[in-house]
Amino acid sequence: MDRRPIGRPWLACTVVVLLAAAAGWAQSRRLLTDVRIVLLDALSPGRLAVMSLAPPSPKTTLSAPADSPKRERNILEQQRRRLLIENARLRNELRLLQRSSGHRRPTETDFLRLRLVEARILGRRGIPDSVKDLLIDAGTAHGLRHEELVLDASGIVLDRGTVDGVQPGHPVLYGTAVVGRIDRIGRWVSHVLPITDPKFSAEVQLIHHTAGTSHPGCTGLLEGTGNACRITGTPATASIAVGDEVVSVDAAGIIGPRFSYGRVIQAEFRSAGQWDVVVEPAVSPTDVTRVAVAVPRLNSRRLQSVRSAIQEDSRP
Amino acid sequence: MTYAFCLTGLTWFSLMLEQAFPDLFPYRSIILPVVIVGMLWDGTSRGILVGGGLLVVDWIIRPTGPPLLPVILSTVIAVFMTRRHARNRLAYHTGRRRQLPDWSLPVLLLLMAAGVLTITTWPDVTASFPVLLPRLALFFRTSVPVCILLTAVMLLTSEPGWRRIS
Repeated sequence: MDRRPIGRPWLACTVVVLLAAAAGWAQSRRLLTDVRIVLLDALSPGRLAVMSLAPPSPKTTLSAPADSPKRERNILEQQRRRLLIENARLRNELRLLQRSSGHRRPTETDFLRLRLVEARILGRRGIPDSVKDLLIDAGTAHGLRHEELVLDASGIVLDRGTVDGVQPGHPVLYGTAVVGRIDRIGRWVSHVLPITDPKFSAEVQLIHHTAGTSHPGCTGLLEGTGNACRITGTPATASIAVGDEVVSVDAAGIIGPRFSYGRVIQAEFRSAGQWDVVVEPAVSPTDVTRVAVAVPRLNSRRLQSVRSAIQEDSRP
Repeated sequence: MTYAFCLTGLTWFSLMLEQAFPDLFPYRSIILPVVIVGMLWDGTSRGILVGGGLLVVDWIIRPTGPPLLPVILSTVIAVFMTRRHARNRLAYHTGRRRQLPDWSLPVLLLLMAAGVLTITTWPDVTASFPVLLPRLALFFRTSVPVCILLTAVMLLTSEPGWRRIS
C-alpha cells in the first residue's frame, strides 16, 4: 500500500503558516496593495480574454426604468442632489453676474469636461467582502491617472458613450456621489481610496438649504475618519447646520462638475472657535456595485470662447 | 515540478474565471475545490506546500480577514495525511478498512473551508444571516459540483495507475 513516502507534511505546513503570517503582517502594514495590483494586472489579460468570449451584457440607458425600489430611490436621490447643487451654482453665478454686470461672459459654463470610465468592483461577490480594499477593473489602459475621482454609478449609467446619447459634461454628472479616489493604478486594475479612509482628503464646499432655496456656504477640507468623514479648516464665522450638503469645489476657480460627498450629520461649535463637523458619506463603499472614474479634460469650446472674448475686449 | 506547474496553472485559470464572471462563479467557488483536490492529488508534503502557497497568493489578491484558510487547510490535510499513512500501514498488516471514504474528503474540506472563510469574513455570523445565506447558496451551487467532479477525476485516474498514491 505505501508505495512512496509522504515527505514531511508538518514541515510543509509550517512553511505555509510562516508564509500566511508574513502575508498577514504585510497586509496590516499596507505593504501588499502594490503586490495585489501587480498580481491582478497579471491576471487581467486572461480575464479580459475570457470575458471577450462571453456575450456582452445589455447596456442601461438614461431612460431605463427603475427595476427595484432601491434603484429608484438611488436615481431620485441623485436627481435631488443634482438639483440642489445646480440651484446653488446658479445662485452663485447670478451673484457674480450682478457684481460684474456689463462684462461679457462666455456662453459655455464648464471649463472642464469629464470622460467617465465605468468599472466593476473586483472581489465583492461570493464569500469575500473586503470593504477596506476597493479594487476596480480599470487602469492606465483605460486612460486613468492617479488621484482621479471615483463615482458611484449604481443609480444611472453615467457614461456609455454617444451610442446611448450621453455626452461628457451632461448635467446628470452633477450631484453624483463620490466613492473615493484612485490611489494606486495598474494597467488594467486600480486601487480606490474610499472617502472614509483616514488618508483621504479633499477640498469641499457646504451647501446650506432652507425652505425651497439653497445657498453656497463656506469651504473646508474633508477628511476620512474610518467610518465617516469630518470637515476641518472652516472659518469660525461660518454658518453650518445639520443637513447641509457637502459638495466638491471648483478646482482653482475653474467651473467644473460638482459631486456630492455627503451630508452634515453633526455640527458643533467648540469653545476654541472651531467647528466640529461630521459628515455622513453620500454612498457607502459597501453599497456600491458599479463605479465610474471621472477623467477630466479641458473644454476646448469654452477655451475658444474665452479667447475670443479676450480678443474682443483688447480691441481698441 | 510538473505537478506544481499544473496546479499553479489551474489555480490561475480558476482565478481568471472567477474574476471574469463573478455572477456565474462566485469568488473562491472554483479555486477552493481546485486547490483542495490539488493538495490531495499528490498526497505528499509537496501538495501542502504548493496548495498552501497558492492559497496565500489568493489571499494576497483578495484578503478577507486574517489569512486563516491556508493555515487551517494545510494543518488539517497534514493531520489527515499523517494519520492515513499510519492507518494504511496498519491496514496493510491487519486488513482493516479505512473509516472515511476517499470521495467524501474533498467535499468535507470544502465545507470546512467555507466555514473558515465565513467566520473570518463575518465575525458576527448571526447578525449577517440575511446577507450570508444567499451568498453561501450561490457559492455552494458552483463549488460543490466542481469539487465532486474533480474528486471523481482524482479517484478515477488512480484506478488505472495514472495517479500515484501514497
